[in-house]
Amino acid sequence: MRALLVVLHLTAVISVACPAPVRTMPDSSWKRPAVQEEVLGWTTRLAKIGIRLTPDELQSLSTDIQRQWIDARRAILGPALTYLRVIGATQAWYMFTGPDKEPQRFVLSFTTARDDGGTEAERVFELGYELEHPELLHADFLDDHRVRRVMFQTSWGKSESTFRIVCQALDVRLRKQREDVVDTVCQLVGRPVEHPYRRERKRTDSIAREIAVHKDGSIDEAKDGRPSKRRLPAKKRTPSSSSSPSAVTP
Amino acid sequence: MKARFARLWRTIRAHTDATENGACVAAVRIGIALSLLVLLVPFVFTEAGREIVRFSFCDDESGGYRSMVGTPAIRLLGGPTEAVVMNLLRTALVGSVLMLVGLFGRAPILVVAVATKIVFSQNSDVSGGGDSLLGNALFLLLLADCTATMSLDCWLRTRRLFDHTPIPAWPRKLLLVQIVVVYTATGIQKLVSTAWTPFDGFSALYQILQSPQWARSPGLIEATDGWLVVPAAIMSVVTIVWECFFFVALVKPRTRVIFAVVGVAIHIGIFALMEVGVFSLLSVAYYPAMFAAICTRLAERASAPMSSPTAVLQEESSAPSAVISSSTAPSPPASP
Repeated sequence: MRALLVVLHLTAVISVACPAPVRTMPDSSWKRPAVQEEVLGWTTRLAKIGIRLTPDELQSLSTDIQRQWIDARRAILGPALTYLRVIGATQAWYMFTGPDKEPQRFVLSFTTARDDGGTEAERVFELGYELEHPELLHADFLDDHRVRRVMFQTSWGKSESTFRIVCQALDVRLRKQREDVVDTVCQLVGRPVEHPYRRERKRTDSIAREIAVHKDGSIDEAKDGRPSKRRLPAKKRTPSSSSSPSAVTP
Repeated sequence: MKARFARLWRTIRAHTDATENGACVAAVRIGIALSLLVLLVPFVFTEAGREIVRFSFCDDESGGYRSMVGTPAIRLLGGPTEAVVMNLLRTALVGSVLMLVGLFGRAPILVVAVATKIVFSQNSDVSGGGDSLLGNALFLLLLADCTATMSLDCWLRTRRLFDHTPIPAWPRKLLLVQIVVVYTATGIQKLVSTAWTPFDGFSALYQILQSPQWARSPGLIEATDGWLVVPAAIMSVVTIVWECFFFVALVKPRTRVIFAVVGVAIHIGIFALMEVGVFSLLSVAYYPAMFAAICTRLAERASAPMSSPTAVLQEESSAPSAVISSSTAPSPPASP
């Protein structure tokens, strides 16, 4: 009996851990430079062995295969997936599959009012770099891999709303520390990474998304340098005194 | 066909019936408990840690970045509020300390497994390979008699820190298979990207180290002005080859030392260059499962001076001692 259970456990672990797409890639992910570069690379390589496909055809073929694979995998491995989830032994080992060719960096700033009626912008942090206002947020907080993971997710198309809610959460924190904050500004700044063998390529920053949270809680958004037509109304704030996050270093 | 199946079944039975010294799984237990302490102590005792917990695992009303309904388990406890989540983490911390010292058998492991599972499953956006590695380790340790030796339980039972009474070997073998699966699977899935292959000059690490999401110093590559091209390519080659061929350690036990030494070096590199939490510590905590014979030898050597000469003489003249029984115990079949 014990031998049988051990064999079943091993079968579940190995079959679920086998690398496989777990969901089809959304269109927004296909459009990312890192993915496009991979697609182009594979069309060139396939052409060399006589398989001529355009990038669009390769994308479509790849999506079809992914979908069929996922359906078949789900049907076959359903019980194993349930068993592993229940015992807390999930098998998702997708780590550093490929480099992001144009990682978007989360940048947080705020504006304050000047005496002449204008506003002055101050940067709080650019993710991965030195915290410029340590009195507003903990450096260890920003360095934590879970927090970085959230910031990383904000740059992916599938979680566009995450960028907005993260910005709103940071706005709440800033305003608790600084009463003079006029707008909290979050940006996703794209910058191609330096390739080791194409180092001469010019790399310029581009603002992929920007959100300004105003004092009344309303939001203005801009995408790819163009302002969004919609202005989101203020979100009801729910500060909690018992659990208010105090980011001030004692 | 039938005969072949019968032979295979006999081999499996031999593996699952085998017994061995408990030092190996005890070492894994201690390693996992230490990793848990590194993970949980900042959450419980530092303001930055509590801020991370609120931001990642609590509802927006408790300082989380998003509203959360919470899993059924946490809803039973009162929802994903700061108080509930922090109490679960404090419970897990106490459990980890008990796990480390080996008190109350496997009960603390169950407590830690349940508490961490409830907290970390609140938000899949902030979960990663480290949490999966932890979940797997805790489940497998629950199956093992991991406080049989090198524990307070052992001390209370035998007045010694080491007890060489054999325990079932199969949980240790499952730990070994698990770490082999982790590395081999992650290596194979990397082959999807050309950056890990000669097609793109093994440029993966050079590019990944510029990512502000993972790199400890995203400006390092730029600041070194191309000096890291070759070292990063070498590191990429070593990583992908080591991961893809890690399964060899399962079938060729003699290669395990090489895989372990390279593994420790890679994890030191990951720890120095990347921010991935306690993933590296948890991974290395599995490594004792690769070395059943070495663990046994070390435990026997360490326990020798612990026994007073009178105790050894007494045991030798009367009942067979634990040490003697372990050395004369039937040796388990070849490790997987």
